[in-house]
Amino acid sequence: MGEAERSIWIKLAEIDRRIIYWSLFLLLIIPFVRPLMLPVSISETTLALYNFIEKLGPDDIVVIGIQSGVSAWPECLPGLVAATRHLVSRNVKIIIWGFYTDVDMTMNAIKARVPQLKWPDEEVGPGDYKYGEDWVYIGLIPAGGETVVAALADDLHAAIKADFFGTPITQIPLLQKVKGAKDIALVITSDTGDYGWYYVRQWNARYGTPIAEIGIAMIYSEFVPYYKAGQVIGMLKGVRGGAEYERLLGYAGEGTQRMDALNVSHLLTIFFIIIGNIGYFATRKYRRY
Amino acid sequence: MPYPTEPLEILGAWVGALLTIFIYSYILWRENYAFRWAEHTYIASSFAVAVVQAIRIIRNNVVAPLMGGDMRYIMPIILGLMLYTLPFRRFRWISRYVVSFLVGIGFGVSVRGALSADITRQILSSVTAPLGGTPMDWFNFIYVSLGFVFIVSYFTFTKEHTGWYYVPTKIGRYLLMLGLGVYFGNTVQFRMAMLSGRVQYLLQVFKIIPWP
Amino acid sequence: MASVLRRPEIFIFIAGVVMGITWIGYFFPLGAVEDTVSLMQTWAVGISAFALALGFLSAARIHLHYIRRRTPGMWPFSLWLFIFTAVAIIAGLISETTGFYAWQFKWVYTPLGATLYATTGFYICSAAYRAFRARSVEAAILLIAGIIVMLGNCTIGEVIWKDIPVINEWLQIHGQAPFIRAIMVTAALGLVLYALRIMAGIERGYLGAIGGEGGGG
Repeated sequence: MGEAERSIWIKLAEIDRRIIYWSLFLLLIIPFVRPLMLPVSISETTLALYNFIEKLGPDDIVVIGIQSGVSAWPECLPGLVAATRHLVSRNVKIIIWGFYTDVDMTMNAIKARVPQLKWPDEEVGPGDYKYGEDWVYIGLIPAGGETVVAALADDLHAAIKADFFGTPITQIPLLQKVKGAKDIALVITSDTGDYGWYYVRQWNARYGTPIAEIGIAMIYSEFVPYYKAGQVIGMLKGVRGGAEYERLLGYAGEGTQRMDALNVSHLLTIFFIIIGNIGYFATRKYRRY
Repeated sequence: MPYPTEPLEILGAWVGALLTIFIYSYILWRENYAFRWAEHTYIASSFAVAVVQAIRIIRNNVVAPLMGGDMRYIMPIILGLMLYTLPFRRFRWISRYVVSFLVGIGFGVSVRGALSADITRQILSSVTAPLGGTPMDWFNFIYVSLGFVFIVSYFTFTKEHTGWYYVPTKIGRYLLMLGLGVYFGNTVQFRMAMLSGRVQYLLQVFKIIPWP
Repeated sequence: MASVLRRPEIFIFIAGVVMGITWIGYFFPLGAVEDTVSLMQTWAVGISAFALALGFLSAARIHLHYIRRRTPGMWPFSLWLFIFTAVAIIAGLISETTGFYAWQFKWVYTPLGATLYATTGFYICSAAYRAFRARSVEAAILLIAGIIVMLGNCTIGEVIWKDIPVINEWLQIHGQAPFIRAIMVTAALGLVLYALRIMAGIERGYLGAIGGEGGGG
C-alpha cells in the first residue's frame, strides 16, 4: 500500500470539522425547498396519548404546561398544536400556563394554529372555545421550580391569583371548578428541562393525576421508566411524535414537514460516522503492521 | 400568516437573521468581531429580561400581597435582600440564612416526590410481572428487570468486579452502552431539529420559503 | 454576638427544620403544617426573583472590570453590553408588552437564544464523526444502537428497511429502559441520602467557607 493511498484513509479519519458544518448547513436547505413528506409510522407512546385523549370529554379539564421555549418550537410546537387540536375536537376544557419567559410567544403560536381558541375580546362562533368557560391562559408563572409545581398541585388558588389578563381567578368560571391536582384529568407537559419530573413527582405521585409528555427527544428517553410504570400515560418524541400525532389526526402539519430535515441531517451524520469508522479501521491496520 | 409588513417588524426579522448569521460565522468560519458583538448582545438581552422578570415577580407576588395587608410577605423581601450580601466577603455569612432556607425547602419538596415516583414506583414496576402477558411481554419484563439489576451492580464499587461478580457487571456495561446509544440517537434528533429550525428561519426571512 | 450568629449549627438547623416540616406536611396532612409549607413555597418563589437579579450583578462586575482596564478586544463589547442592558431594562420597566423591550425580546432574545441552542447540532455531528469509532465491543454496541435509533427517528429509515421502526420502537421502550431506570433510581437514592446528610449536618458544602469551621465568613 503506497503513501498516497494511506493518506486518503488518514484524510477520511481526519476531515476538517468546517467541512462537516458547511455540509450540514447547506444540505438542510434542501428539504425546505423540496419537501418529500414521507409517511410516518405511529409509535406505541403516541398512540397511547391519542387513545387517552379520545376518552376525554366536556366534563374533563386538562392542564397544558408549556415549559419549552421558542428555541424548542421545532421539536415541541407540532406536538403541542396537534394535542391542543385533539382536545378541542373532544370539547375538553383547557388551562394553559408556563414557566418560561417566552411562554406568551408559544401561546400565540398555538392560538394562531388552533383558531378555535378565542381571547376574551374576540367573537365566539359555533365550535369555538370561549375564554374563561372553555379555556383559560394563566400566562407566565414565576419560576420557582418544583416548589411552585407542588404549590399548584396542592392549592391552585393559593399559588396563582390572576390569569394573563389580570382577571382574578375567583371571577373565572372554569377555575372555580379546579382546586388542585385532583380536579385535573390530565397534565400535558412540554419540556426541555426538569419540569416534567416535577409534575410526575408532585402531581402524579401525590394525587394520581395522569401525566403526558410532549417534549424534546431526550426527555422522551428519560421518561420511558415513568411510562413503563404507568405514571405517564403517553409521550410524543419531539418533532417525530408531533408528526405521528398529525397523521393520527389526519393532517400534514409542521411536524411532518420537518421530518424531511431530520432525514437529511440524520443521513449526513450517519454518513460521517461510517466514513470516520472506515478511515479509523483502515489506518489502524497500517499502524498494526 | 403573512410576512411581516410593519417596518419595525421587518427590521426585527432582518436583525434576528443577521444576528443568527453572525453567531454561525464563528462555527462556519472562525472567531470574529461580528460574532463577539452578537454574543454580547444576547448576554445583554438576557440580563435585561432576567432583571425585568425579577422585578415583575417581586412586584406581583411579594409587594402586592404585602400592600394588601398580609404582613407575612415581608419575609421574602428581608430574605431576598439578605441574599445580596453574597458578593461581599465580610458579610457573606448573612446570605447563608437564605441559602439554608432555600436548600431546606428545595430538598424537602424534591425528596417527598422522588421517594414515591423515582424509587418506589420504579422498583415496583421492575418486580411486577406481566401476568397474562404474551411471551414478548415476559421477555421484556425479564430483560428490563435483570438489566436494571446488572447496571446497578456495575455502578456498585464496594465489591471488586471479579469472580462471579464479573459477569453481571459486564452485562450491565453492555446494556449501559445500548442505553447510551439510544439516548444519543434521540439527542441527535433534538439537536438537528433545533438547527433545522434556524435554517428555516433564515430561509423565511430571505423569502425563499413562506413565513409560517 | 456576631460570631454566634455565624455558627454553622444555626444554618444546619434551619435547613433541617424546613426540610422536616415539608416532609411532615407530606406524610401527615395536618392543616397548619400544610399551610406553613404552602407559605414557605411562596416565599421561595419571591426569594428566587431576588436571586435572578443577583446573577446579573455578579456578571456586571466582570464587564465593569474590562471597561475600567480597557481590556483590548473586550471593553467595547462590554460597554455595548451595559448600554443595551440599561436601555432594555428601562424600556421593560415602562412597558413589557410594547416598545423597545418587547421588540428586542421578540427579535433579539428569542432568535439568539434559539440560535445558540441550535449550535449544538453542528457539534453533535462533528463529535459523532470524531468520537464514534467502534474501538471495542461496548463502543460498537453504542454505535449500532445509535445508528438504528437515528434511522428509526426519521422517516427514511423505514424506506431503507421496513423493520427499522419495529427495532427502534423496541429499543426506545424496552432497550434503553434498564439504563434510564437505573440512573433514575440511583440518582433519587443519592438525592434522599444527600438530603439526610444535610439534615444531619454532615454535608456542609452549601455553606461555603463557613461550613468547615466554627465561624467567620
